[in-house]
Amino acid sequence: MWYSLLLALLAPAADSAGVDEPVTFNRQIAPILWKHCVSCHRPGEIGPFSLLTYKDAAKRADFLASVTAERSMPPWKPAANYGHFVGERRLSQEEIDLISRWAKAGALEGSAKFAQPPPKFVSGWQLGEPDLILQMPKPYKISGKATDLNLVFLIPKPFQQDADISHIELRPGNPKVVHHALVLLDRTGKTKSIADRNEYGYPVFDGPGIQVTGALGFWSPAKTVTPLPPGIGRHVTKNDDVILQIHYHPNGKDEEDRTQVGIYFTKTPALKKATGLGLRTKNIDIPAGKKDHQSRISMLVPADCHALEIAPHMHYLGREMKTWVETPDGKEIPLVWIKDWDFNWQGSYSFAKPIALPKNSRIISVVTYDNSEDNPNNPNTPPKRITWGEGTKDEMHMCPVLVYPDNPADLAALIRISFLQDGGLAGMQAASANVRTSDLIPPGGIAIPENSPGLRWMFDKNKDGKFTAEEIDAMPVLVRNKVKDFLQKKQAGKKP
Amino acid sequence: MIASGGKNCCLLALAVSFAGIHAQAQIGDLSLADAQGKIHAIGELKNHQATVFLFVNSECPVSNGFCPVYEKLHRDFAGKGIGFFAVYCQTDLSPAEIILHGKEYKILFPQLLDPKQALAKRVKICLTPEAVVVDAKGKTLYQGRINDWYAPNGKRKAAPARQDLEEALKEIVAGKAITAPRAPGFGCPLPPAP
Repeated sequence: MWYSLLLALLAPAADSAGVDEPVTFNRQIAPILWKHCVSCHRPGEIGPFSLLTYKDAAKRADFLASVTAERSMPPWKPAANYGHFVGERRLSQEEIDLISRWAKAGALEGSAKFAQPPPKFVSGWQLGEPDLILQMPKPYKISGKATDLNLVFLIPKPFQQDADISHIELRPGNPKVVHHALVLLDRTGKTKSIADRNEYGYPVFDGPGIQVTGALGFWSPAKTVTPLPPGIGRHVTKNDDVILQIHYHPNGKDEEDRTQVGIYFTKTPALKKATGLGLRTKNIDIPAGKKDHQSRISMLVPADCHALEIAPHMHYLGREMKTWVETPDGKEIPLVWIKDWDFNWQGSYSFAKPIALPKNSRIISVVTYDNSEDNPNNPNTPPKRITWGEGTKDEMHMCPVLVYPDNPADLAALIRISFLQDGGLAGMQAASANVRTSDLIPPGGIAIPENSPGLRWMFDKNKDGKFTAEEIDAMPVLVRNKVKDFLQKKQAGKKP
Repeated sequence: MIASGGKNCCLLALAVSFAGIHAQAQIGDLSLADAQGKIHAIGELKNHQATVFLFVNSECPVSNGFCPVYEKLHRDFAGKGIGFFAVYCQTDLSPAEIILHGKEYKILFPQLLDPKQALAKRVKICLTPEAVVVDAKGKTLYQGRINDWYAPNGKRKAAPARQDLEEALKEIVAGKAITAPRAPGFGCPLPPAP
């Protein structure tokens, strides 16, 4: 008897139906849907239908069983037990089994005595009235005929003074079409000059077309808003323009949107400023038809810091990304692993607890691209060679990590390493960085000038006095960009 | 937001339709009312060289996303001997709701109510959106997706590359054989039949 009592106590609360007892909506299913689904699937939210009531859920019982079993819903991409995040939307196997048993047995409502009151939702801002509300200067009309749209809206210099931001909350003006959004900062005025030259809401595919100077956040539906830990903030200045980059999924009819961003400043001045470690590369060249093309990038962490958030990013060829840390004493810390990348479900993930990254740790990110015909998302039929770029048919490998320095004095070192990552800000924007090396030199390679014995000694691997494209691509980014700039100028000079 | 249910059902249905491609079941003497209350004898389609049935679901975002394509196809082919019907298989939708949906999504051809899913069963539809093109005798010429915007795994491309339904209609109008008479789609499964 004691044994069965013990078992009863240990049994998970959700699974209170014995194997023979029918699973019912009131008893087991409603709590699962209310916990995991209705933050989107309720009237007025982004989900296309509601799952609040028995009637809503019962007519879709088979559908719910199938999408939960294949884990396409709720949408949550990071692999289980590889990094832990705030607001993980993952059903347990028990919950999935309950839904499946419920659907198979005819989706019963069950006794009213088990019915619980439906959850109450906070209307308006989830974390209370913001300190400052930014909004798109005017509504934008989204044509139902359009396919995916990625538009930039500029909010010029909204901050009256330099300040630290704890968190932001994005409120889509029209949840039916706002799919995800980035809130970025530009201190250079470059975005403003692009916006001034273009019509309202200028289109981009990825990135506002400039090197941004900061980011305030990535929003996707049902994202749990997380304030930064006390004493930590994202710094903004009165000279910053805010860039609202919204990815719309038009829904077949004309819609209008005017999205708002709520800004919450830190309660006390932030001694430690959060900054993004820009783990990324432009060195991407994926042969046509290649199924398992790998890209591996890494970054040496220059100072003790803590990681807060991570945002894996690729385009349509991306299949898998795994990012982890190797500490100087040889320990491996998992950060994030997306096993089945879907461009439409990209996100930014806040770690459940800040992760300590000791100085000289190495952040490593490995991705696999599928540029074969078997990849149904391949933008080219037949497949073509794909290189780095911001367009739909280009690829990226980015995995920025938001960190704060343990010692405030190390902030500069953390910012600098991001710029050095790909040859510095200048390197990122070097004209030649996106040009394929093989397009700059003859097929057999190019003779190394006599006056560059250093280059020959260091990078001419087979000592034949020539550089091949492979040898140039293997150079460190700064050197490679210099060499490519030189070759590009030389090539341009030759042309009549 | 978007889900990929009913794959097995559809694979099964496709397998069935491939197996039965030579012994096609025809729609037969089926009549359905449209949202305005007009009865259409859809087994008799002799007024058109071919007729397109677009199975839609007003609550399915995947299905709704294709409505602009229907508008274009109707504009391009209605004058070339092709008939168009939208078919709603939801069991609890009123004619008024269907009319409103048609207005919002610019569906400019008759919207049939198939709450008992009688037509859906005859042509073996199990998800929306899906197109079925039949000849004047009710024999299926094309069945499947509208285009390849969504892969069968539910991932959506930036833009569709192949307009499967449009290609099939072009071939029909030109009197040619259809190169790809079946193309598996992706979308929302039909609600359970009453």
